Amino acid sequence: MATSGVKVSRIGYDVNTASDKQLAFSSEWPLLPIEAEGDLTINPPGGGSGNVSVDIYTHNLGYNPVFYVQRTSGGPFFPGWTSCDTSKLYFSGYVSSAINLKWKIFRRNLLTNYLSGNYNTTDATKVVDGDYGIFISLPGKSISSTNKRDFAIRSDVRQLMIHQSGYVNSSALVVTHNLGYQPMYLIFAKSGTRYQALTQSGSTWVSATNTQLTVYDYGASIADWAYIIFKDTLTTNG
Amino acid sequence: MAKISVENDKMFKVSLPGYDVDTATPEQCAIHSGFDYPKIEEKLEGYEAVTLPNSISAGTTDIKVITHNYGYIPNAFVFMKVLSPDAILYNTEFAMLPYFLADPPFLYYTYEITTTQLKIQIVYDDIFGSGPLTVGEGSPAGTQVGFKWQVWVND
Repeated sequence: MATSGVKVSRIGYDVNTASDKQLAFSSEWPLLPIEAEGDLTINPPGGGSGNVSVDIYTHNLGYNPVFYVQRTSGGPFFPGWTSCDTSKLYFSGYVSSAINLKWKIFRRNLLTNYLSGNYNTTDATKVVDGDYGIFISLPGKSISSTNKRDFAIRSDVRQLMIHQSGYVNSSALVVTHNLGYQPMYLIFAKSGTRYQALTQSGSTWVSATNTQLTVYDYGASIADWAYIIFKDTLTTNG
Repeated sequence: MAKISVENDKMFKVSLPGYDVDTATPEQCAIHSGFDYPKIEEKLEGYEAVTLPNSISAGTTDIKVITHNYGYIPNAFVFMKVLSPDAILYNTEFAMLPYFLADPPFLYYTYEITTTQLKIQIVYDDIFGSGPLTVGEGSPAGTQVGFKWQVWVND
């Protein structure tokens, strides 16, 4: 643990006793900076269903970045239809009706081996005292804004804090995190030169326990994985 | 929209351990005011064990609706845990949605987001013409599923 730095608790928690996951952020571990984002409608080919390939965005970061593409409405969507390489974010899938998507690329290399460690795993009692920590507004936005989207960081909301990340060459992904609770995560699978978001199903079985994140590919087609484990818990609001 | 980061912004930077804040790249910073970050209000995240209906008709069925009233379509994370293990269906200890219970994908959990709500859903495509799903082995009808959701401030 560094001897200097910054840590800020979320509203209601004493920064001296707040557990790691009760912090808004800490200079001990990274967050997920958003490099680019957008909305997109993928339409089926003229005349009916069919395969559609779209270059969603050229990022030119020179590495495979963390990304997140979600369907907001419309036709069926498999996350594995989205992928990234060192220059672009792609969509490639079988489209039967228009799919509305939101996408984000983060300023973080998927191929980063990282472990933050646990510093305080004992939750503090929440006390609503109206005491605020820190607001950091985005460039060109007022610190007095009432729109939370105008802020990079606010200590009255949760930020996604990264506990662990990495990549492995294996038929199964088995990661020991030792958080003591079931954490939120993102998982990617390599296909060619690209990393795809993992489509989760019985054939790509995922388990997040108090100590491990595990993925088995029963189709035996995935040999390389990348993952991010967050300090956020899956089972409580903590 | 596309690129939203302002890499040369110098209002507030905190570097990660081992990096000089004056020369740290955005990847080497814990915080950089030139970047937006995912943000989640505590009132818009939660976990709940939900009992599915005893009969699930073909089409899309809303299982759990969370109202956010942001007035725009935000990002979200949704995970699910099978609380009633089934010998035929796939079981999971927290998968991210969409989660496909069968292959071909005629039965899956997913979600939609509007400007006011997050709707967690089960989709059933009756490709075998067997009618509504009812309680019994091999069917999610009447079973319990745990859902964890986070609605982001970000759109």
